[in-house]
Amino acid sequence: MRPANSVVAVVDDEENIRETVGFALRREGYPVELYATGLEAWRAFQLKLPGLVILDIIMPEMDGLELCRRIRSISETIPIIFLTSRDDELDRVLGLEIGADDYLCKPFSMRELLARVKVLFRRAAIDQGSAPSKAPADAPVRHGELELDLQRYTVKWKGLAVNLTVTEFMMLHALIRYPGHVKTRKQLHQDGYPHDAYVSDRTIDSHIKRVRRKFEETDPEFDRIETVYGLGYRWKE
Amino acid sequence: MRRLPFRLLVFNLLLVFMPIAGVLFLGEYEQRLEVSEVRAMTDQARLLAASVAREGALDADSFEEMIVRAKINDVRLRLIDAQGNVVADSQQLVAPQPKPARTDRRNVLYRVGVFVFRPILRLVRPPDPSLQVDFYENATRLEGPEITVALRHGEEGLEKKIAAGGQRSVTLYRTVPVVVGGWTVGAVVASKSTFTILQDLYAVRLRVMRIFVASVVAAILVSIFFAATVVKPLRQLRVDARTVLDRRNRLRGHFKGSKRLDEIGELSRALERIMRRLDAHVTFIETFAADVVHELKNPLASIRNAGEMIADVANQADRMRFVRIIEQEVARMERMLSGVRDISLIDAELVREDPVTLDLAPLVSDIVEGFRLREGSRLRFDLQITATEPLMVEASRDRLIQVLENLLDNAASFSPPGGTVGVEVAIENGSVVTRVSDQGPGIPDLTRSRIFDRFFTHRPDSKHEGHTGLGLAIVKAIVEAYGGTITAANTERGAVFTVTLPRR
Repeated sequence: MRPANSVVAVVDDEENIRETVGFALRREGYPVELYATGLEAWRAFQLKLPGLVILDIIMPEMDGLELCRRIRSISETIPIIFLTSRDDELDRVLGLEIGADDYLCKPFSMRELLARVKVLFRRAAIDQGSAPSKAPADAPVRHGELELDLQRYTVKWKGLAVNLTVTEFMMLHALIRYPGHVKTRKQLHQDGYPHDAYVSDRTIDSHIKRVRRKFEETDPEFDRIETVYGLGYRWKE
Repeated sequence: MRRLPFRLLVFNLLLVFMPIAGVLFLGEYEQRLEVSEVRAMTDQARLLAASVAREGALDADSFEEMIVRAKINDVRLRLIDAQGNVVADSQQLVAPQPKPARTDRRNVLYRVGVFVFRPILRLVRPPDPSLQVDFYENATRLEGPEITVALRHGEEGLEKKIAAGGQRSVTLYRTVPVVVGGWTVGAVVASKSTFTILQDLYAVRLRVMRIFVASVVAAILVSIFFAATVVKPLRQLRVDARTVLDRRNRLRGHFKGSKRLDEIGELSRALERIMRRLDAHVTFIETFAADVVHELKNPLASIRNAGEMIADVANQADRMRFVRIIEQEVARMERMLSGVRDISLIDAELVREDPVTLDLAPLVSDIVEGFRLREGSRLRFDLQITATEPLMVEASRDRLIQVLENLLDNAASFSPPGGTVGVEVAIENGSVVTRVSDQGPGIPDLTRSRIFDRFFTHRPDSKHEGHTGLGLAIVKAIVEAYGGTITAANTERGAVFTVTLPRR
């Protein structure tokens, strides 16, 4: 189920990160392009777009946010994963609002990154209609007015699409699996980042905040995700 | 805060009450005037008595003649015989002095003063008992203790007759016996009203009162002035100072410096400077911590990924590659940490080291010479010192060396082999300007604004080991600490860094 264009572009000014990520991706069988600056990547992308882009946010010459904006001006669908080392909320939110599909905090787990790449490629492949039929376990999950497509990693609320990143999707899925039950931040973290052990509670909070906001954008009345103070979150029936 | 104006008022009022003490001591002054009047009268009476005695008989004409000749007109002199009958009276000779129509006693201010201070004066000095009025004004026969003393006992008599009611009006009487051949044949009676003395006293009192009122007004004005110019700005200062901290004593607001030109304005501006310095320091620490965390995450990510890959791959050559990456990144983290220590110590060192005034020219020559030795034939160093006068700057020698070494190091590392590093020191617009230029690739336009940022490096290939991105940030911190500026620009052939320091 590999899409036609499975080239992964890695844009990072850190040589060792480029090299390691490139090595790991090649080992998984992806053709890899490495770029040290945003400008360099942009020049190459104008000629030919890769199948997926892994982007560092802070880079000299052209930063990741600007490059992301430019890529989106060419292609709405190409999956983009951000790598970031800044805790600043702003960077992340900006990164996501300009159309990133997911992001990972440095130092990230390579397995986590590879899992994301795989998921995003599958989502892209399904969207292009080339997906083979899957086991019934992956059939869409319905919960009241919420609909989760576990293959496409897409969400619908009251019939309208809610554009979640892969991580957000995985956290939401964890919340609705046991509606009414409280999920601690630690559990949500394990669901959102199965391979990573270094995500802070604040990161979980900002994910939930963003999930709520994305739901509110389609439905201003949305109030299903409840904060249980001192404990975590739960999906309200 | 209310205590300050109160203290000022008390202080001013104390000054005001000094004249009141003066009023209280006027009594003393009055007494002394009286004594001197009596003495003058006595002298005149004695003179006349002696003259009359020499004539041997009480003769009205010669008495009057004597008075006219002596031009006595401020004392009333009467000649009486042994029975007290008036023989002659100077009153008929000299026209009485006209009393001034208005006296100072009638002055409103004086009356108010008397109204206010009489009770106080009464406490200090009980009023004289009022006596029977005993004016000899038009009497033809004089009787009284002073007359009796003179006529019966042949001694000089003194009497003070006080008119009752209102202000005291005192008439002084002096009797001197006229002795002829051992017998008292009469007496000379000199009399004078203390009215003139009182007039003097009233005038002095009035003046004291005027001064007092003026002082009270001045004290109030001064207090108001102090309240307006000292207390109010101080209060504003306190309000401003309080807004800096919020309820939980956290730094929050911004201290506004006053534009006043006085000491309070200076205090406020000094506080503002302190606050701004503190603010800058807090911001520095916060952003610095964020920068450090951010910078350490990159090598950490490489180390983590490389570690994962070592665990995953079997190929020995690949594994060695990741081991090398880990070693590189660990070394980088160590370098970074020592850079972080350097830059965080810069502040403390700049404070500790006393700047000295030194000539930049020989220092630059020495450093350039050192670089010539270090680079050998790889690079050429072109040193130009155009100024003939000494290029004095105020800075710490060690810090200046650090600045110059960093800039030259930077220029050398970007220069291609065989290139020339230009160093120029000159005086421009009253400042000492140092330019370090290279023939490297120059600074890309996109990064020129960030070139002095901490951890920012633009080294397209990572082959320049040992650079943490802190060098130019350190240079900038030092130059700015000495009141200078540093800029980066491109020439046709490469980059140029310009350090401007104030000339001493």
